[in-house]
Amino acid sequence: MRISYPLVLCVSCAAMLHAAPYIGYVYPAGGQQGTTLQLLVGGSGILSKNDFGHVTGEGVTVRDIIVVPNFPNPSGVQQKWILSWLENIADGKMERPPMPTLQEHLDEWRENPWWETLDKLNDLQRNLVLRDLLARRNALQSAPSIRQMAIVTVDIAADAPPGLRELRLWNSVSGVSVPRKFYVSMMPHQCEPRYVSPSRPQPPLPTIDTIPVAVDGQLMPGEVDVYKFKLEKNKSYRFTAQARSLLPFIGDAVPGHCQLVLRLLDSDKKEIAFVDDVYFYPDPILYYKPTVAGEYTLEVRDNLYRGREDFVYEIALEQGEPALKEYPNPLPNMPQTKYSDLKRNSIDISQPQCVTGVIVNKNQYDTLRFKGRKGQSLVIEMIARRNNSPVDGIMRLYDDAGVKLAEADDYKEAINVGEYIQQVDPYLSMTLLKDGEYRLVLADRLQGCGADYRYWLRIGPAMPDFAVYSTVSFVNIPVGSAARVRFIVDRKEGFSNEVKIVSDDLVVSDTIIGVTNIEKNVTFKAKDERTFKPKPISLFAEASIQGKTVRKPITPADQMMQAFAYNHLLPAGNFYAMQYRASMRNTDPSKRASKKK
Amino acid sequence: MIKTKHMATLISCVAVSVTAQTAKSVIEIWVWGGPSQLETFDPKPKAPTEYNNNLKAIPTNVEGIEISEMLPKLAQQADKYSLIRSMTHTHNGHETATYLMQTGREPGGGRVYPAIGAVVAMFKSKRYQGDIPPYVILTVPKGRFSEIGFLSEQYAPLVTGGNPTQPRFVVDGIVPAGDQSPDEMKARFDQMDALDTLGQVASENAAYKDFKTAGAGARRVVFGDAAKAFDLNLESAEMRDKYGRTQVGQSCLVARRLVEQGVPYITINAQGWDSHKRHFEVMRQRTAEMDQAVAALLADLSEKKLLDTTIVWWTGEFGRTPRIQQDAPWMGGRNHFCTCFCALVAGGGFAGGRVVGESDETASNVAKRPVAPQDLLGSIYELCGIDPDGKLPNPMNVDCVILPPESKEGRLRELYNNRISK
Repeated sequence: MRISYPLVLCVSCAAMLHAAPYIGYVYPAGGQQGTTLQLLVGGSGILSKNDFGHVTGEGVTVRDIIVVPNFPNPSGVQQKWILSWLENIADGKMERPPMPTLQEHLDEWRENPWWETLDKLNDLQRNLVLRDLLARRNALQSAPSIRQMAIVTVDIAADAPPGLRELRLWNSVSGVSVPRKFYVSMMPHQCEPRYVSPSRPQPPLPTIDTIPVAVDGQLMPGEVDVYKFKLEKNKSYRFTAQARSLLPFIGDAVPGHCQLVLRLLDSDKKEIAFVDDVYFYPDPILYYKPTVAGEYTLEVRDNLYRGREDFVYEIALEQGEPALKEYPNPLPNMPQTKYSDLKRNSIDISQPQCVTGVIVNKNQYDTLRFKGRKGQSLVIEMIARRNNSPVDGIMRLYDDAGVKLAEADDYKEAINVGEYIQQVDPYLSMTLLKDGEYRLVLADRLQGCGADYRYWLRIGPAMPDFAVYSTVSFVNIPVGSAARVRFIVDRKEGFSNEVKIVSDDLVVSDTIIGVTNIEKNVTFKAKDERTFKPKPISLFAEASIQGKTVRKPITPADQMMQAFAYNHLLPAGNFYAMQYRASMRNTDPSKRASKKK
Repeated sequence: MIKTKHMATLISCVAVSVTAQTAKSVIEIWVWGGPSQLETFDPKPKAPTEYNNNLKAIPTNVEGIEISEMLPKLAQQADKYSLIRSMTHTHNGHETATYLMQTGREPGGGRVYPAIGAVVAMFKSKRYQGDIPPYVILTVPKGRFSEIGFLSEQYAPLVTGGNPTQPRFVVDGIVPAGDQSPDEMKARFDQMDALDTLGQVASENAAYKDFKTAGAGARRVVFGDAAKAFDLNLESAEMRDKYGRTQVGQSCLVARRLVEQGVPYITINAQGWDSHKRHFEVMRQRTAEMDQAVAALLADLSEKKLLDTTIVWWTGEFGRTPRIQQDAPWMGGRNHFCTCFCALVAGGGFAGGRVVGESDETASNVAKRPVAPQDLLGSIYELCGIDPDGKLPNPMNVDCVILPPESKEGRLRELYNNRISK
């Protein structure tokens, strides 16, 4: 039978998706400059000595990777045996306990390399064994995609620039993984206390008295993590939490992210502060100024008491007063006007311009006046929530007689790009039907107000444009073969032309996203030597806008599902291409790591 | 006063809507979570692997009809049921899709319509004289869902709780837990009556009367023969084995016993079909249990000459995405999929051995004869002798039609055994 090339390609793509390493979480999600860290990475498709890691940016190197062998379910007798050995080690006795004598117990004995060598493991490894045996888990929330674990040791140079990085794993037989966030910071980090067997006395909670400090943790089902801090009188403190921002979308959780709650208690265990979000954003920031110096307890949990290994968080404690939010300018390439400077003057809509404003008062309605001509095209776009402003905008357009011509509330975009869950910014596009004066009135839909309530308004003629996103931020190419990546084009404001995908580094075919399509599977083949290492690749999209050919960088992104239902494109720092030696390997980790003796 | 008026409206509805030759009982097998159409009644052996995972279709005892290899026992009963391979709606959320599939109504709009079980129970309750409530759910209710909607509490389902696979099926409020003898229970009821000081001062109160009436009905069930419908020890071990000693298998057996008692509507909520992850592992277990249970139920009803008067329908709130999701976190799962899925109908006036509708080559879209939820429910109503365009009593006296108008393609009249006089 003759098999067509596209079919072979399809199969090879499917095999690739099965086998490529996948990272579901990184814990801790950050570390201090000048330290060496053991990161616990959860995922799937992680091999063993063949795996390598890569952290973007300067100054962070992956020293080694130890793959945690998947732990099978031991019999009750074997579990007791492992626990008794761990207890002995905790008491300073390293020798193996005697094996059971009954053959029926030995028949049920399961093999795992770590269980056989507990005395040779380090503390973290032994703790993982203990946690696997005893920690509570929710079977409904278990995910095969994060069942595997690896300990990734990274060295952070003293001069490593602080900020966001991306960690990826890769190996030469299946390719490179999706990225996960990792932060280099200037402040010291402390991880939550390690799991302790319930049968042993729980060690006292250490008091953290060096501030600034970041604490890192993982929330398991029902867990409330607790930290003690020594705070001084009349100093302002800020606890900044990150959880959703570390993993913005979890496909198999509702809501589709870890939703942290922070609760601060005084020395009498009385709640003195509680926060579960910042405006609309789920990661909370808690401010507190003690009137009494002393020990304070911070409780950290998911607001629904959910938990799983990928419910990773980091909380930075620093001194600091509540401050205004800082926003980047989302419309930097056009004339800027402050609403407060407009007074009652008309604005010119013949060219696109940005009007910025702040909704400082309750029931504030900002009114913009402009003159328009019959047949004139007009677009009014508010950018607020997409720029992390709390404004939930609404806009109404009136003619000079006071007749309402249009109203805009939440605008549904063709694709969801970025971390926001729901697009609530309003957008109006129209052709004016008569000459005259017009009034645009805008407000916050929820009647919120404050200095943080800022908006950016683009007003002017339509700006036909396009943006292209990849749906994975990597392509893994089997040696001598090809692989496909799906691209999505966002056509804006009348742009309706075809778009071509271009790469200087790879051989690309099926490159045209036709005028009737919004997405396309594009085929890549390697151009260069067989390096078997991930290589950052620049991808471009070309199209004609109003007769002029425009070339724009493609935004590398990974498609992520949220709460079983909604797809989002999460931009990544780079797009990587990698060749790998395709091999038939068992992709089910549970079948590879354990067997009966 | 409001309640009395409500009842009067109800009676007039019943009088108008019930026709002569009708199905007496309905067994609804609710495949909770959304069963995959490809691994049940709409296999696609010729589709690419990323759709069918190399699973095959097998022939049935009806020439030309094939179903999934995962349902070998049901393949031998195909002459008793018909398949709908073109169910379709627009809700991919469990709650909204369940509401739509159970009520025939789009969610929202300010009114909570009753589920089909409550509607059938209401219309059938005039003729049904049994002690067991007219609407029974085995064994757990659908979560976050109101079965009765705006109907009166008297049509609320009896939700059995308990586990019919256990040596004693402990039905909540009917079969006592532990070792209480009937005499001990009677003594407890007597003691409770003696302590009823409210009754001494409010015996004429309407709400109190309702309460006492309901209590008396419950006692009739507990102490009479009705509770025996739930006693599976009265069945032979061979019969119990035939259905499978599983939750769904033994629930189907209880359902058959309830049909014998004349209970108008029985729902079996079969859990565990929301197979986002480990889909094929889950399917192998669930379909094996379901295959044995439903095949045994159909054969048993047929042998006992009950199938002609009992509708059996099987479906979930939606199907599952035809293309297997291999990416994390699913790693071989199927998601919710309302665009095209399947249902089974049997007995009570539905013909067997037929297929309605058709999906495309990957079961991703309806290719022929779309069937809307209100068309499926409307067909069941019609075969029960209930006019789907009839009225429902509403406590606010709002005009409420049982179902919205049927779709352009209409109800499943091609499957009726010519029993509807309308």
